Amino acid sequence: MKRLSLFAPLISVFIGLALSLLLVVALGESPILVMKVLANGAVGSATSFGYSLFYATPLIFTGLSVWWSLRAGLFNIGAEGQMTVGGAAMAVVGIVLSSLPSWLAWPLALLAGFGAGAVWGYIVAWFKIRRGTHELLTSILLNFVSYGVAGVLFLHVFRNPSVQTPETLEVRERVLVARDERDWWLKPVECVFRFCSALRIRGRRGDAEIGFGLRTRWVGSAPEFARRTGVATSRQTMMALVISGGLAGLAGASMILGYAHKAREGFSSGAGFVGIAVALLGGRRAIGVLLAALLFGALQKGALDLDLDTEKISRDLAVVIQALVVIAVATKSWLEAKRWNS
Amino acid sequence: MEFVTAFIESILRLSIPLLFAAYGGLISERSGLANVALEGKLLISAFAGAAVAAATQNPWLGLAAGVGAGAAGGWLFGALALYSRADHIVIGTAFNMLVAGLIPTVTRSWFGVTGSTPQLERSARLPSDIGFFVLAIVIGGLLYWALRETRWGLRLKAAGDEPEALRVQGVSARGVRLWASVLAGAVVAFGGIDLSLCQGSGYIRDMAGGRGFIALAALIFGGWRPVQTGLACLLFAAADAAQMLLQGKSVFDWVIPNSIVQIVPYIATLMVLALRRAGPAASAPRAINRPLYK
Repeated sequence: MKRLSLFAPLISVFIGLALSLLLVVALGESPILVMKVLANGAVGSATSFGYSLFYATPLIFTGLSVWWSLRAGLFNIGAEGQMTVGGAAMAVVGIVLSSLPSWLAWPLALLAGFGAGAVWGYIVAWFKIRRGTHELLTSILLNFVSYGVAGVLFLHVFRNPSVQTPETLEVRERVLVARDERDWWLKPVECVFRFCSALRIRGRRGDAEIGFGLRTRWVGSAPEFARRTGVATSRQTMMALVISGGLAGLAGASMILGYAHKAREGFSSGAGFVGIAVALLGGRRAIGVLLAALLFGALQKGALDLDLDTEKISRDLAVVIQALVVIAVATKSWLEAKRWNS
Repeated sequence: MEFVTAFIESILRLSIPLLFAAYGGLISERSGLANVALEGKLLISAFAGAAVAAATQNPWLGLAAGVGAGAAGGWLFGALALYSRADHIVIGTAFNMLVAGLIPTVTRSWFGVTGSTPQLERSARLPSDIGFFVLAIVIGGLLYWALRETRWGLRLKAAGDEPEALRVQGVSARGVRLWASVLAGAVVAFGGIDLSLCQGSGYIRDMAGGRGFIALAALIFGGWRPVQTGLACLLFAAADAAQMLLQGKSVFDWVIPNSIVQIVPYIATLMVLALRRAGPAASAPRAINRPLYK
């Protein structure tokens, strides 16, 4: 079983890619051209590689968010909405708290993002614990609510009146995390590491043998055992969803506080949903989530060029590939059973 | 008076996709197959219907294609979820993603635009929704009767509550679930076709707008029972109708932002779910999402 831990994800990615290329052939486009465009767009140059990392950054957060909930046996697919409210909160703090010194301002902004996502996660947990509503349903409905909340903030309260597009005012300079004006492609790279390394390591430690992460996993994999051992399962459920929501709430940080310096409507652009695919492909360990996020980030970046460089394929092919990879991962228990029997 | 009739008409029209999606969900969930793929099935059938109607200029061929696509989607989802013994909800989520990516990819190569089909002429659309509404009610009534009185209904419930009992009888619970999923796909498809060939004129990106999930909420709120589920759909349709009515209106000179108005149905759904008393085990099929080995 241990040996499968890298084998199964690679096979899944291969199956997903192969089936997508079959689709490409069926639509009358050359699969070689598509692969070339994807690879070139993702890692063809230092700039495009930097952008691949930039695209991977939110996915690391949303991926870890979904992954954390899966650890506790929950399926939080509301990362999209949590990311939206988290981003809105960060932008608001960045705009309003202009007088604070930098060392206080950007941690506060991040805290606000985490907090807003965590509140969204708490609502999901409340429904789960008190009403027995499946977390999937509540989190999907909350996604739509978050678009409305963010819409009001971006379009009415903090709208930048001098531009046509629906976006907020600029975030104050002090709140920005990456302000370096060195080689500009390094900027996204820096965002990645400044934001992620600390959290990712925390995610991994939590998963190790320290009490909290272990209890979370018990609730997920052996709820009855956890309950009889005296673990307060509903509290663990709540904590898992709150942390999961908070992680997703941070996902907009690299975009809002690092790159664009403002929030605009729809800035999440599906990163929350891709996070589901990232978490499922990532498997049991946080490092797997990181690798999966890098892969899917590169895929998204590469797919952007499909719109221009091919006649018949659009960037949505990335979503098809991701979905097929998830299906392949999810059905791999079948593969494992087959191997086990033979 | 005119206002009241217009409001009621709006409720009935908006309830159609919800009713079909919820009844499709009911068939599949009562058989024990947790179905979060309703949204994807609405989209795929709406798209298939509109694409064929655009190509042939015949709405009835579009209807047939949409139902076929819904049934095929139901088969694919059911087969993947049942024969891999994977978690139904993970597979359902992946199915929704697959549909969301597949449709715009295909439209670029077929119609030269990403994510939508060409605008349909009046002659290439279905005449009215009344037939759809009546059909939805008939399906609800048939389900109410079939779940009580027919062998099919009993087997469906057995597959969802006590699959081992079916095995004793020599009936494959997995087979029951798979065919339930195919039928569910075909039923949901009418809702999708109503969206693209009746209420709209062609397919536009993400045209189901979360209705598959609202239907799922209606199913849960209705306790997986046909009559109550239908009433829940009407309730959620009323929230949606109120939302459309409120758009652009103002309260004390303050124009309510559309962003707020548009989330009214989702808030209403959440509030209704919050009112539902605790203890889901009372009504949910007992063996839902339980993997089967035979």
